[in-house]
Amino acid sequence: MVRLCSSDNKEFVVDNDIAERSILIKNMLGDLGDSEATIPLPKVSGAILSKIIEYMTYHRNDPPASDDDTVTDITAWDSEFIKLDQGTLFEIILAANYMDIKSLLDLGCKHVADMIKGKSVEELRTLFSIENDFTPEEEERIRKENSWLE
Amino acid sequence: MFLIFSFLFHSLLLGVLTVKITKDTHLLNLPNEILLKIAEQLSPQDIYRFGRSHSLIHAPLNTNFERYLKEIYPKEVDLRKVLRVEGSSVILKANEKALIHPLGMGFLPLDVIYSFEDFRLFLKYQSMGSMYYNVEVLLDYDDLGSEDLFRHALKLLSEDNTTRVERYYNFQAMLLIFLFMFQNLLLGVIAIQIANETSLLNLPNEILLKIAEHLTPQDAYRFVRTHSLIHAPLNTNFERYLKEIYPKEVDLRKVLRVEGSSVILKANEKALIHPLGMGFLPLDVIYSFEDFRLFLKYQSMGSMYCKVEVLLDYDDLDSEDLFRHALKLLSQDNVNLASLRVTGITHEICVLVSKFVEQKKTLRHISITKSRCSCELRILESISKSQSAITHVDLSDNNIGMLMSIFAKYWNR
Repeated sequence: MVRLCSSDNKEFVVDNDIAERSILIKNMLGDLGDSEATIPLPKVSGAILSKIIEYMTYHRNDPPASDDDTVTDITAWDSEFIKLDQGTLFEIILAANYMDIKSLLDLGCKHVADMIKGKSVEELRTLFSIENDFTPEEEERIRKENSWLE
Repeated sequence: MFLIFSFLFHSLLLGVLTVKITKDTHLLNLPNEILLKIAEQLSPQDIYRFGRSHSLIHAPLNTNFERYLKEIYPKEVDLRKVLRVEGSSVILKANEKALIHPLGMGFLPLDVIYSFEDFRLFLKYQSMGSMYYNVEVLLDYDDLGSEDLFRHALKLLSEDNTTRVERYYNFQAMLLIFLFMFQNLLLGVIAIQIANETSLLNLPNEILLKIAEHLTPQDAYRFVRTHSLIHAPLNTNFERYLKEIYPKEVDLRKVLRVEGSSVILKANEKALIHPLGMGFLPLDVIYSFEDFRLFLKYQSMGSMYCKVEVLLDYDDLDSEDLFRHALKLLSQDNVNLASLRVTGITHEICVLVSKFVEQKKTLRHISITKSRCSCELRILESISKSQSAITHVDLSDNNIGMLMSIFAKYWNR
């Protein structure tokens, strides 16, 4: 069993094979060589770590991800799992990046990409609460430079 | 004889002395890296005085810095307007050029602080992920003109990756900061919740690129147009690359086109030199060779990393042997041929092309136009037997009336 400690000092005890879905934790355990040690995860809050443990537990028996693997089809479970409010979704993506969980990082990025697909610029700004910071001149310049994409 | 003896004696004595002097290592004999290491321990003023002591000391310490300054502030005569020294730090006024050459500094000994008088420029700098230097940021409330923007600025500056921030505020801003802190204290959990919420704009560049990897060029384009913080990381490399490859091209539509999820870039000599300078990861890039001889050159460079589109113009090649050679070359496993465009072929060549289409596994697009014979049926048969997933076929300009019905028949098989 491994103890994981979140940024807000919440402790989670999980099986080694679950924790080692994270390459960061796997490497830390390898370096420490002490199975009783607590692994600090200062960039992940307890709420997010709890979600990530849920993901790692479900995927505990998956084969190890390689660099060449890319997400193509999302399973029904993953699809339900990743339906989160935007704040949590982005926190999960950042945590997956930090903890080096490739499949979760890919899943999060693919989900955000799916949210972007087919939407107009204005729809995207509304969806992500983005305030347009381009001046009309800058917008015109971008349009002109990318006329091959219009 | 006495004179000769005296001369020899003096020469011998002088020789010993010379050897003695050259054996004593002088400060001026020290290599540049040692001089820089010494300078690392000095304050800017001391370095300045040290540099003035001798040209051999001045040169290594100043050359890089002078070159940098001329690049960044080419028109500035009075450098005091863009540079100032405070303690052991040099404060440099940031501008657009400084953002492009942040690592061109080359003046290691000093503790450099970039001074941003324009907060929007700082945002751009931050979006480039270049948080290696200390920064000084001027927040002018009147200039920002919005409480929300000011709050956003404070939040941004409070991030750990902003290594050092010296803030200048006017009275209104001080009041706002006080209110901001007071509200955070009062509202407790709620305020912390709002402040901590991660938005798309806070994601690091590598995550934005990972998201964009899943998008088509058009979706990526619309995405980057939403905000400068998204536009900058996704577009900067690509724009720089295009300007390098096609410096004189005003209308990029002549050298770029989009087909499905691929961007097809017209290959030229410069593109061959910078094949890996692409930097625009999200797109599926295909190099289009309209000149087969250029493709031969490309192939001889062993740069078979990118997908290629090759135009084989029978009239231009003007030889069946050369055409056969071209097809043989393109059939090799290390040629990632995505698109083949053939024009002006004869019946004999059509047989060769058909066999090629059947066997080339990487082929996605095929265009056979202006043929001198009725070879379409054979080509379509070969497409139906093809080992690759061909998604785009152009058999236009071949004067075959029934082509569409034949095409439909084979396409639906």
